[in-house]
Amino acid sequence: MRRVAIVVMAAVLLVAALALGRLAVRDRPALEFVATPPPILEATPIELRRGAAACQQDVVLTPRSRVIRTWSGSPTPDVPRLRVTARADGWSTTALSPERTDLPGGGADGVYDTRIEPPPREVLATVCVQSAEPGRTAILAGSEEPRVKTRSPTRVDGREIDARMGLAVLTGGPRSPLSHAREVLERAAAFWPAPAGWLSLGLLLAVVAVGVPAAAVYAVLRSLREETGE
Amino acid sequence: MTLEHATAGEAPPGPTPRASVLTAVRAVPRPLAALLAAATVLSVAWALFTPALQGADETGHVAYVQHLAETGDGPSVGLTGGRAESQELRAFIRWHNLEPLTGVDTARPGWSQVERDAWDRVEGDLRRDDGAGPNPVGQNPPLYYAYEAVAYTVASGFSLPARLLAMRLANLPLLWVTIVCAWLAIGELFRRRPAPRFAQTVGTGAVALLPMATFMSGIVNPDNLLMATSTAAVALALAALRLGPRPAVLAGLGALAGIGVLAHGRGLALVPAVLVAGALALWRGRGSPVPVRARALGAAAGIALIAVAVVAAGAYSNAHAGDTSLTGELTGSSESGLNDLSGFVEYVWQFYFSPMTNMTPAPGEGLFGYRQLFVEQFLTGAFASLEVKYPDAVYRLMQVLQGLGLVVLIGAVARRWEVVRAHLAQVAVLAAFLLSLMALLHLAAWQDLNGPEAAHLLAGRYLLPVVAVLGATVAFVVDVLPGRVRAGLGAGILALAAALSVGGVALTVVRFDA
Repeated sequence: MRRVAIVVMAAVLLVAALALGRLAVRDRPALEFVATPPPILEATPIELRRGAAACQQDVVLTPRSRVIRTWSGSPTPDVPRLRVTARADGWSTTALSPERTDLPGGGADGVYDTRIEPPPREVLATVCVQSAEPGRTAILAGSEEPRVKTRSPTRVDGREIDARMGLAVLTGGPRSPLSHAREVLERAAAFWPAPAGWLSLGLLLAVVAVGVPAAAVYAVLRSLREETGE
Repeated sequence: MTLEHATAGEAPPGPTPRASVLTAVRAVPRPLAALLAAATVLSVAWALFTPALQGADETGHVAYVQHLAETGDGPSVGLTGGRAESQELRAFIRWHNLEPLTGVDTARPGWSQVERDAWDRVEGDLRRDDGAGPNPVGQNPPLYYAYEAVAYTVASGFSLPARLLAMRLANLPLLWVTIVCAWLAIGELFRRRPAPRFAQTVGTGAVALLPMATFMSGIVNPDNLLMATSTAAVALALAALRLGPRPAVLAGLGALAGIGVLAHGRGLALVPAVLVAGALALWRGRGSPVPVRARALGAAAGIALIAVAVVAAGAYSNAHAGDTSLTGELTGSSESGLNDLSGFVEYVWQFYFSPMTNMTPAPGEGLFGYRQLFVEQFLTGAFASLEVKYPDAVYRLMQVLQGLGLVVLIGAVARRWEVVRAHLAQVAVLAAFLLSLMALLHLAAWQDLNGPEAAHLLAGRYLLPVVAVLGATVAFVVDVLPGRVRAGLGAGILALAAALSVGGVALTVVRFDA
């Protein structure tokens, strides 16, 4: 009976290990900060006519920041380019969204990925977005859904609006959790007190991954032994 | 008496008044010790890898604990001179970027040093005692929050994140009580020689490694106290059938039901269940050596304890939420739902089965039924604010497996009918706990569906009070099967539970931090 139990448990745990391995190496967006999540079910268009800019404060930018992502609210794929400006104490940068709007991240696919020059240090910046093409109105995706919340409201030309503009900061292209495992653990430990740190959380994760299945195997085999004397 | 002897129903070999802690620890059956260790590791992992306040309704629960600890009184549901959260908690939410995070899987918490610095600059100057409400869970009875307030107070000299962590880790004893009581409850069902240790281990493992049980123990939520209390009540109710109507047993059942009521409004479901258990104990113990007067005294004490708890919980809720409710899930309840009994029956039918001809669809949007409640949110799990989920294939697999499990259960009952019939009282007790809870949940959900928002307020964690019934059922099925099938099924169940638990933690890490 012990052999049957061992074979079954090994099979189940092997499948689980493969699934976990897949989760660890599968690419995900390299999000560094999400100021406001994109709309969930229903987008509210934020129209930016000539010269008008939609801004959010307290956006975290770091030396690793490479891309500012916003979402298009245009009903058609014919969208203008965007100009994105970020300002913080003693630093600012301006960038244009991709020249080819029909390529991924150019806006026509619903996503604007604007590459920026990162700041030399971590800053809480004010990020403003406007149409880069004179005479063409940019339409961004905002949200008035109760579930979509933000640290700071969206302002258009200094006036607070109800819709919250989706805005995120990325460090680059997609990457797997395993490729930046230490950073993942540092993030998990960010606000917890010592001794929670990337090393202790890493050890805890290892104990979970190995110790929990091991305890289950031990409990099964031990109880079979106690019962049958095998 | 050690756990071994308590479970086996035999007297200890001799008095051990000076038994050391080490001896007591050694007396814990090894399989149980292994399951306790695994559950502890998982609970600590959930506490650390779930970002602050990202558990189910955790912001409201934490704000409740803080206000109770800081002022000696709980927050109110309605408008007050204060806010839903204290100044300190609001600043923490802001700088950890927690508000956009709740339930939205495209959002991420704040990780950066610049945000931590901003928090460090403000945290020392903020008020902790102005979270008087409106707090959406302010109507909940205060017992769990008072328990958590002890952990909060012990850590009061530390930063808010340290206090939050202390509150989460304070759930560990409740998890241990749950697991040990599940072990004892299953032991009560299988009192034979040699003890069916394997079935007992698998049944308890189904509780200890249930992902929702360990996840909930890693967040601040009164369901933890309700789960522990209910599991203890199940164990004592089963023991009562053997011990007879001793005054301490009957009073103990009343006390546990009272604690449940004071833990959460859903604890009301314990009242009919312990009344059934007490009545069965009295009926079966008609010829027991316990004097009639002592039985009456015990029963009266039990009922009095329940009554005091119900009155106290009601008074507290009335003082903090008006006369609207005794429980969060019943808050929005309208009375109109109860006037439409045929509608209620149709709703319950459609919750479990496909609608029959001419049945009116239940009000509200979206499909929420047996699969979502039992399979997805209870047996398998959905974490954080329900947005951390396994791939859909996992839920489909679990649906198939639990369906097969039900078929095997029915077959096992048929095959061992004489055994089941000989234990009808125990079956009745387990059924009483399950049916009482389901009746309360469906009634509350039906009322809410008929309320102004037509909201379906049901979640898998609401089933945690009957986790011992799940464990007992699993143990029974495993025990009935023949040799190798039994070993394979039992081992498979525990391996699957362990795999789902580890997977749940991994998905949580990836969702929030990758």
